[in-house]
Amino acid sequence: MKIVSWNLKNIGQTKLSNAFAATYRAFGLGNNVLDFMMGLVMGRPRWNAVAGLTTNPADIFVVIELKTGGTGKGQGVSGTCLPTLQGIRSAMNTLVGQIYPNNNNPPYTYDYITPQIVGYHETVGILYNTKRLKVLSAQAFRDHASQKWINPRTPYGALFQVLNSTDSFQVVGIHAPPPKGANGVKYRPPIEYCVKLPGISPASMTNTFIMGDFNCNPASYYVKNIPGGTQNVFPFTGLPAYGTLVPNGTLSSVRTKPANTQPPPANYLSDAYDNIIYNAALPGAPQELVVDMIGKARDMNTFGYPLLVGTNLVALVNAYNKVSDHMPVVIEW
Amino acid sequence: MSNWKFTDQYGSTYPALANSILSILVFDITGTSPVTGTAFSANLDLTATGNAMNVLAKLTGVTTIAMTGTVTTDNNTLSVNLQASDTTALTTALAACIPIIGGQLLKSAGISIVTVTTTQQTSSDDPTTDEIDLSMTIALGSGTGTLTTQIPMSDGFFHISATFTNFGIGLSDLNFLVPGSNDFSSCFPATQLGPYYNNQTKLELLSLGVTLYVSTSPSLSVVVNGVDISIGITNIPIYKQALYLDPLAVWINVANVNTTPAPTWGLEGNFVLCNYNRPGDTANPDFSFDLQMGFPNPPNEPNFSLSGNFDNPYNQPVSQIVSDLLGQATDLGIGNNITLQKFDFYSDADVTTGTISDFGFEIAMSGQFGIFENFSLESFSLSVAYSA
Repeated sequence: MKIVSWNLKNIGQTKLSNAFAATYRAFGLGNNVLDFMMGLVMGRPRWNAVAGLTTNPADIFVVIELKTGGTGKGQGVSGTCLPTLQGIRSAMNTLVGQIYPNNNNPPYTYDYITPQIVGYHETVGILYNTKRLKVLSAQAFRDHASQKWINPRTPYGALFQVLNSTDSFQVVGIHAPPPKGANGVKYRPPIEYCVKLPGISPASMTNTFIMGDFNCNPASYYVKNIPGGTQNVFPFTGLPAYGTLVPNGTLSSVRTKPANTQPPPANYLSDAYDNIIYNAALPGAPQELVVDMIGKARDMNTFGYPLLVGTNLVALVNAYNKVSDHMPVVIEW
Repeated sequence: MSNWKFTDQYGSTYPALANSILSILVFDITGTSPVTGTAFSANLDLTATGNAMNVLAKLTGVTTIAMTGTVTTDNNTLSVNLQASDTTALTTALAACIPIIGGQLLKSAGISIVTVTTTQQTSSDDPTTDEIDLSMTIALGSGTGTLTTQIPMSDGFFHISATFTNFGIGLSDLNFLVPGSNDFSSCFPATQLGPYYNNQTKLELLSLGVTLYVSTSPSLSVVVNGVDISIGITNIPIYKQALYLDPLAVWINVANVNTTPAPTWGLEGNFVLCNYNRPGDTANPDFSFDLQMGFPNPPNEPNFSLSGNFDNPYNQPVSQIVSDLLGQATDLGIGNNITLQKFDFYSDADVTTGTISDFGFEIAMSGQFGIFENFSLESFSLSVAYSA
């Protein structure tokens, strides 16, 4: 099973067709944003030299920061949200036809779950492989005890049944608020958001994967004043059964321009914000990684497929900013 | 000198040229330069250029493309503007390999290259302009339109699109978009639009896009991934020459074009409020209000939904809205320092019962007024939600 979680920064139908500069297209990594996305999601050869990343197509693709009309949490989406999902689904199915030519029963066929609004003009998109998975339920989550939405963007997720099996598991997409304020309290907004995650009903169930843009990492904290002193507050204190294979501090947030004073990858990545945390016992040797699509980008049109980072860093960062300000996270078992 | 590049002649003077498409393209020439005065004439050598031009070479079936145009170096600026001079071969080849726009539809095809860079831009900068596009002129109904796409430089998805103004169509003019059924009207929500659509309704094509997947191995194939169309009516006057619905549009997205066309559709509109000094100038409004309507597409979308989002691009005060609507001299006593930042609403209706199931709106303002007159008020918002 392979899950891809990717904050695609306000992704909508128009953005899918945004083309890269000719000099970037010439590297053979993608003609436009949709093409670039599909290269990663569908395990195309463009990325097959990334350690730990297989060439298997994703079974679940969770799109964080999917654009929609409307603002009412839990309400139906509008605008170009569904056409965007339809375009992504169609692209995934088109690629299945390319990967499995002349196969009338390929092991992958994709559909999407019609989402609900999770916040201001924003939702979470979930596409899945109907040949392996069946959707049992999907919803925007409220706090289980108070029945209130989680602000500013409530989690959205789905419960899947693994076909021909008794196994089931949940995926929950989130987009925490960004850090704000002075250093001592900078991470308070996203941490307070993450502290509420144990209150959503799926968090207490095993085989749950919570993923997306946490805007903080497990080691982030802020100092809270309490009677008699202070207390350091961490984001996942209430989720003790949850863990991740992504090494703490793995950078995933992309700079808008290179910081030449920093060593790579900090010269193009800034913060360790994206992750998939889970409380499942995964079989075999599961792989989980933040895919560095700048540092691992290769020139596919040149013999030997040399890495591009270095003298091409500006072009790589400029091109990636057309896609997102976050790297994808992949987990596979 | 064969295998000539623009960087050979201009690279040292215009270092940002190294980051342009012109640093990749190879031209075949007989002398020392293809430029005479400002006139350019040479063959673009797709084979010598390498893998980046492989898809174009396979698509067109040619190895060289004759290009002509101008190259100027005025005011420390290099401006390159080239076009394919023989479009016959391109047109024939593209019509054959992209059947959805082939046949009688495709009238001509061309390639254009536009690059602008200055001496001040360094090798770390990108040129001011750097484009290499494929354009295809197609005939629709009684008009013609031009679709453009960035040239694909690897196997994968690419998108051809165009926007149109004053382009009247009939639904049957778009039959080519669903070759599987050859009946675009089956994708158009005529029934759901009720009295708002009949045979006399004049339709305009606002935009057209086709997403394609090109593969060059083991042989060339081009698959239609999906089409998206926006059909609408523009500049509908709502109130005098102040408030317009511009446009009211039906958007349709069709997947599985070649097998079982599956349309998704909805309505979108944009109310625009013109400045009182520019009555009827819908292209430069003071305010706009986006309206989106989702219609039932069972089983995934069983409900009717409506949402609207206010956009105040110039942070105009509320008093400006009143003046635009009612006239410059109108004064309702609202201070000029109160700005409407947000006015969003949403509603869902259960189509089985015909009742509104949810409704909500949110208004946010900024400015100093009333009891907040002596505060620096960042924003003031009001939110209402109703759920049956």
